[in-house]
Amino acid sequence: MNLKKSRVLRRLGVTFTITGLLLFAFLFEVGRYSRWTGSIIIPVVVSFLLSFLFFYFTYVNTGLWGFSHKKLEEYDERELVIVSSAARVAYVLFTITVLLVILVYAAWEIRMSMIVVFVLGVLAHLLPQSVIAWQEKKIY
Amino acid sequence: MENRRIYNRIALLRKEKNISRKELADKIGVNFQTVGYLEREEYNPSLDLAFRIAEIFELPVDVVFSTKPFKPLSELLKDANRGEK
Repeated sequence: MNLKKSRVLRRLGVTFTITGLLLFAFLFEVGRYSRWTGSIIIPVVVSFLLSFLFFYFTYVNTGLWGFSHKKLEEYDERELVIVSSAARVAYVLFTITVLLVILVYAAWEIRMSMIVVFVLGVLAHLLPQSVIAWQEKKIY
Repeated sequence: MENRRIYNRIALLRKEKNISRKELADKIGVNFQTVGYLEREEYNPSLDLAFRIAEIFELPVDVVFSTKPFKPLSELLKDANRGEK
């Protein structure tokens, strides 16, 4: 199973990483409002660890992390097209996500925790790479 | 704007000159996988890159790139033979 060559596996990796991250933020908020009663802390930790595990295999292990963290002058013209079009798609997705989160918090009149802000920050960083992982046939 | 397909003879010329994708990539200043994309005609090069490739093969740019599919080598040879006769 090579994530560099298999787009289906990469897409699954992206889905699990982002879902895990969002689940982590959601469960953390549930935990915060339930005053950490019951066993909510276990799903919070598990969702974070699973998300991190999928992140490692999908982004770090495939070289995608390294690819998207190169200096601008190290990209050739084809790679620049890939990176800039991924950034464009990611910008739209991130804007919609942030607006939805703000809308939910405003509608329920609740305060946003630092964990949600942290998850949004991570998401802003991950989304361009996720778009590349989702769209590209192969990752080198 | 939809990109039209640009056909090329990079793979053929590279094999003829006996140079690897990596060597060609280093000479034209791109990553080696970009050469693969160019050869499979999955990426249309910029005008600058097209000229750089043509210069490596010491050929006019319209011999290396075309907007119409290139004739197979066998057909070109037949045409050349007919011309000689």
